[in-house]
Amino acid sequence: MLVHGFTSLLSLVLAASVLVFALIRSAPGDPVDIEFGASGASTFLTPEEDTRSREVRRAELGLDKSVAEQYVIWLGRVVSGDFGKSFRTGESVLSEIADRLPASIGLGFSAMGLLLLMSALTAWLAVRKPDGPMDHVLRVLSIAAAAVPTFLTATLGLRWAAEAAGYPIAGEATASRLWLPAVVMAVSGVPTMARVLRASVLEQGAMTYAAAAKARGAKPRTVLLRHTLRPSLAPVMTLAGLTTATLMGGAVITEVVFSWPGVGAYAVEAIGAQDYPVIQAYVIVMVLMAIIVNRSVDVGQRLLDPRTYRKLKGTA
Amino acid sequence: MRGFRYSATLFAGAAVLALTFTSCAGTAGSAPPAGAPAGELMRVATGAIAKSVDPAAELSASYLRAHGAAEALMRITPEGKVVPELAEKMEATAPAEWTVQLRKGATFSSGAPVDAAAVVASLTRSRKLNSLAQGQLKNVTIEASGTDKVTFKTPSPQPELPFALAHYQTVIYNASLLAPDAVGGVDPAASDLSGPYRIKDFTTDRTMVLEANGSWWGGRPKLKTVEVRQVTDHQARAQLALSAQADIVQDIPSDRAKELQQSQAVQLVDVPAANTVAAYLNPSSAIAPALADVRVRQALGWGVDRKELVELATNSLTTPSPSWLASNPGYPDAAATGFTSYDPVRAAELLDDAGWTMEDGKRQKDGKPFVLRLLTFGAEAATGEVLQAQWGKLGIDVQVQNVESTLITQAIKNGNWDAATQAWTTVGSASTLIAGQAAPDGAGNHSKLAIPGIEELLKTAAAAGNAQERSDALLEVNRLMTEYVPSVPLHPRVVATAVSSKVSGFTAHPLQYGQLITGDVGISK
Repeated sequence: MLVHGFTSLLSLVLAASVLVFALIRSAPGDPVDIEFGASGASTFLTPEEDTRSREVRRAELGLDKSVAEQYVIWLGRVVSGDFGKSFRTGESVLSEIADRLPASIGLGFSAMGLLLLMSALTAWLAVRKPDGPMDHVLRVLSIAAAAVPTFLTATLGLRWAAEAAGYPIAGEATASRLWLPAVVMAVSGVPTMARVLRASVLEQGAMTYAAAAKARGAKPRTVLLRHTLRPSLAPVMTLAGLTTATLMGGAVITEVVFSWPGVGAYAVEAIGAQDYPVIQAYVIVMVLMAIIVNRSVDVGQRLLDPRTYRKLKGTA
Repeated sequence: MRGFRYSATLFAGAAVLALTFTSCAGTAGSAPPAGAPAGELMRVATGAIAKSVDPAAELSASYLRAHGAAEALMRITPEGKVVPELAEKMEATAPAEWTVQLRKGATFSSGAPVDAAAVVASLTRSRKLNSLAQGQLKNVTIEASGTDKVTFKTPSPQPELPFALAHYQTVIYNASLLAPDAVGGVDPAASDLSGPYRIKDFTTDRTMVLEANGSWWGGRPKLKTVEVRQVTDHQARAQLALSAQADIVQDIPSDRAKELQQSQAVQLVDVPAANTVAAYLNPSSAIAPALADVRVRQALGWGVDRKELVELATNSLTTPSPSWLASNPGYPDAAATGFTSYDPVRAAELLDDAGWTMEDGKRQKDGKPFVLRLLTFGAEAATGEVLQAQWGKLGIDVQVQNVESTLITQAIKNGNWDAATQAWTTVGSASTLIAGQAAPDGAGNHSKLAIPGIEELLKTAAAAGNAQERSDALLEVNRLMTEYVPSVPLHPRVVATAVSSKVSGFTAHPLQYGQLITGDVGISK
């Protein structure tokens, strides 16, 4: 089982690495063109000198080899734990990512915590009286929240917080700066999660076992907490898993708007400069995180509903 | 009732959580680094900082210099003149030889002397490892003459060499601390430069903390600490200025200019950049064959209302540029050799003469409409939209696409383009810079347009013994660019900086690598 899991993980990472390696190299331009375009060096060189200089730079960065050769060399280094050096800074990519990852994970977990709290609260208020006035109000609010793009929420939130609450716009990844991007990220996920939870709770509440519990005289809160809540959480957990992977990877727009020093903002810079080693390492780390989160969700699902495991084993 | 109590409890919990977060706000993040009392710390926010502390790394030296952490032998003033910096003086000692007398007592921040050997080592390393420095110092023999003199010998007279030695890519540093064959690195200890400030702490894409360089030749700088922070989102940068969380904020977006102009605590300092945004044209385009006709290209030049363009696209934060060289303050007559006015009648006549007649408000020839694809990049999207409207009045169907600069480069490389906006620097070695635009093989002459007589004029400008001769030749090149129109000059880019009213000694510089933080910049408590 363990061997199967490891093999599956390895093949996923390998597939992702091949994909990202090919995709970023098929994008228009290359890092050397970008570098020369930004510096304006070509103005001072003859076309021949310019071409020669670019070739030298490509050779320095290892881009003069075929994509297949580049991949094999890169993979060989990765196996020994070396993800290469950033084209822009000349520093180890792994150490630069490791430096920024805690900020993204911290923000991701905080946003996830707030998202679950706000979704639970919204769903709770909605299911108290399905299709009642509060449910309708929350539905409208959810649709409105889902319709507003994150960058707008982030920009408006930043403006309000800076003026009204003295929110520090730029700085390190401190607790005093964490709350606002976490709220913005959470708000963008609440509509979906709250609606899924609401629907799931109502579906389970309509089941025979819930009706039986009510017939036995159980109070609505008891029915919810002791009977229907646990099975209701299964779809929410799947959704939470997917959302967590996204949030942990650094919500790119949020990190940029809030100058949050995480991997998302770092990746944006790298993509702009086509800093291949950084982009490759970022994708690999994100794939690993997504796999870990998904495996954790699987385990959580089995704990919540052992039938899932039995179905998988064919013993249901 | 009980359900209400539970809801209320949940709400209260969420509110307490939010309030806890909020109460923390404003207490950190903007706090000065330890050991820097208020009044001695300058907080700078900018769109980009150096990627490395190695001055030979691409563009790093430009940011290091802008923030007071690097110097070159010469420097360019905001008026576009070249004056000594680490050099005491620079003079032509033979037709093809310049000699630099180094400033007495100048040292790197480590205390090591900025002597002739260090200058030679620094320039040699930069030239070897950096293509821009290689271009600036091409065919130049650099030799130490004793400890305080450096000679620069060239195969032919190079009257504009002082501009090359004022360029950010020729800043002087202690090369012995850096790898001889590779660029990069983020360890401040490896970066030993001169300037009013030295790097204390550095994190790529995030912050650079500078401290006063006590051994600077210019005396004690006014600030103890300068904290430069990269804030990539332009709206966040504007907000930083408005909420007084930074003392100097660079690259302010033009759409927030009015708010900042109304603020009491901040002054918006805007100067036209030392570059010209122009719409480069492709006479070989298959989609817009009209561009092959010089009359059509001229019509596009006369059909731009530059005054309206800068008002609408930049909130009047820059000025019109009637010709390519007009954004160089050293050539005030350059505007007169360009598209001196908005002349839609002349533009229409030129298009008619070229056979592009107007029917139902649209120009067409042989049944084919005049369609022009215009690629823009970044803030020039607004410029593209105004051009679309103005050229639209001439009956041209302009399709604007705002894309990454890489895509523009790629489109030009593949020949699959009609027009694209770009901005090239105009201040520096003017003859080299304009050759990049007008010479048949110039890097900015994307269409490789051959302008009659241009090569002779460029040679004259490059080797001219006196300034008047050089100026005359350059102005003639500039006039020919207006006549043949490889590109339509529009306006310099916007250099808008929000400066707190507490800041003193700040002078805006039109060059990106011009000094933003000098030893004279201070801040009141």
